[in-house]
Amino acid sequence: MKRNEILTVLMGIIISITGIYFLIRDINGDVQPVPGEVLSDVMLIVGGACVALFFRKDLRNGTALSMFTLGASMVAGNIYYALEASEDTQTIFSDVYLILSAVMIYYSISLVFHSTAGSTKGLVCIGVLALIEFGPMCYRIYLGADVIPTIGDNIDNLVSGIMHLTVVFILTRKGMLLETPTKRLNRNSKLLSDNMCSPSQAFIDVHDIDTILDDSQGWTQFDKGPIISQKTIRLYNTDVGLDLQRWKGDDRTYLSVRVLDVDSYEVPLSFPIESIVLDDEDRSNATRMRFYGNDGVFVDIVIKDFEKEKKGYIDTVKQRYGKNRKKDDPVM
Amino acid sequence: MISFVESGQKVIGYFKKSTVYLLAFVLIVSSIYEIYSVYTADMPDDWGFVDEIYSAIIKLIMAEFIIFDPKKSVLRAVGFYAVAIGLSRVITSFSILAQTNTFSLAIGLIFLIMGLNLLYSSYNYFKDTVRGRTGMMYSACILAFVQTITLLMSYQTYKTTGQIDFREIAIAAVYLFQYVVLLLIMDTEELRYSTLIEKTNTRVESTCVTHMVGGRFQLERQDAVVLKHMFDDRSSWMPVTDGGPIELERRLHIIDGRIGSTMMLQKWAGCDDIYVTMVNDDLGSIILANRFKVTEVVPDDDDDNLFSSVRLFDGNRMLAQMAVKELDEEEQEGMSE
Repeated sequence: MKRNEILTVLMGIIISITGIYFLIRDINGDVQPVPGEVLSDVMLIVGGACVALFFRKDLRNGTALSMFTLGASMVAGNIYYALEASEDTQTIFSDVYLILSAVMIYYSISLVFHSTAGSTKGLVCIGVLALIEFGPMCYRIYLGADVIPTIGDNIDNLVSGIMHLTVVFILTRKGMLLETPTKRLNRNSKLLSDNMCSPSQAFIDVHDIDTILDDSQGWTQFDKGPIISQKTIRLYNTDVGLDLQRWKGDDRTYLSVRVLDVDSYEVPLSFPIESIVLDDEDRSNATRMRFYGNDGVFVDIVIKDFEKEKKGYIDTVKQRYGKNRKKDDPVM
Repeated sequence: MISFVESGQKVIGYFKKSTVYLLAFVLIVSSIYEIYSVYTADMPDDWGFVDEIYSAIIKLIMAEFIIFDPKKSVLRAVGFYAVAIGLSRVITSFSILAQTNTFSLAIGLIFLIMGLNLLYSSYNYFKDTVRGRTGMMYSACILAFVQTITLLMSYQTYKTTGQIDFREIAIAAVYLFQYVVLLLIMDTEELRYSTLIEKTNTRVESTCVTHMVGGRFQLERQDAVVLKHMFDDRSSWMPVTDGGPIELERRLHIIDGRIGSTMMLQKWAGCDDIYVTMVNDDLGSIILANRFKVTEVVPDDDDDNLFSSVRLFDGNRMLAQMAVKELDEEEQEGMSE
């Protein structure tokens, strides 16, 4: 199972376990459960189980179902109190829970139909629920109440709050958060730019000149496909890198440009190298390297000494204590 | 004789260079004031002035970080500044929360959230992305306004009573200076174009200028003339002697709004056509670009002063039509000379 799938399953299990806890309490408790409470518990159990069993590979719908389960269960458990014509705290809290749950249900349905982009608003609702559940308890402890008895009095709120916080925590992990339009725009524009524009700040390390020009070093052999061997040159200050490739039945070396450190990529430029020139015959003084192909195609790359580039405090410390760049570090 | 615009640009240039040090200076002044207020206070508060002392130490450390930063930039300086202010607020919130009552809890939590928010912003600044610029500018503006009113009220009091509270004026002046500096810095170009949305916009605009000719785009006339005569007059082209296949090269800088690109016209050995490489920044690395070949250029008028568009062709395929900027009278005289 992938990391995201594990997190989704974990989220489902936590929701179900919370449902089981409340169901046991409602059945065995001294107080008769109010109408809707048992249904609310069953909803948590079934919804959580569905998320863990059937939606672990579908992040969007898994997130939507989790939100819907939490919202619907909250509605079922609080509708009785909310309809009570009373002005006690429970009724007021139930009204707030109902409003937040309605918003959560709305956003979960919107997620399914792709009419909302991200999960942020739903997550804010769950966060507010957790805050309401933890707030009064923390406030009493802050004012000097004993911790253990206070927690004992508010154990249901604690369990529910932990579940809500865990769901927020899981759904905000890397890869689990559904992107907002701004972040999606940022990612797509970066993809577009990486495949269509030159990363002008990019440079190759002066020590890589030998790797490029020396034909005998740095090649990785391939058994399958038309490419016999390949060496990859890291460009600094960008995600893009260069592949030098040798193809079957062709004496020339090919230059390919691609985004590094990703599983899927397109090759926006590939051409056979006719000549490579430096702007200075002395390799250590060269500042630019040009790869010439045919029909007007060329690539011109700035050369810098990576060691002499300005670095921040953390990178300076890393460099000083031997944890300086790995060959694959993409950005300084 | 330097023109008004040039001297203005010079001043802006000096300001840009000193911005980083200005921020460090603000932090140093603010920390000195905090230490001064601890030593001149009548009686220590419940927290024993620990928060003021810690805050002053943090500000001094961050000022030092700004001054000696090997990778100095306005963004990083604002990041260090945000760390100083954020940590100070977090420490202050602890001191407020230590007084256990409802009011302290509310105020303490607000301070804590504000401090944590600033620390998160500083993380973004270190990652070269500006966060919360508008909000920060609004709050700096309001706070600067409040300090200005304090100063004006002190002046009014002096006018009516003849008494002046130097301590109050000093405090207001220090804070006013701090907020004005922050306001100016938040409006620098480096910060303005480093928000997530502006960075996205720059990338998209750069891609557009390099790969597309927009409907409103206009070529500068002197560049259009170079394009028009690319096959019959290459007197302004530079010879390329790097040992590669290029014989001559001419670069035209195309500006469309804030973002520009460079059109590299190249005459390769053994080929009569002109190879064009459109690249977003010709001074940096040139890897991915818009590359095409031009075999014919057709202007709508043969007169260099009168043609209003040029069409570029590659064999039987028309590549683009580019509009040419109209000359004003002064420029027309210059062209005819």
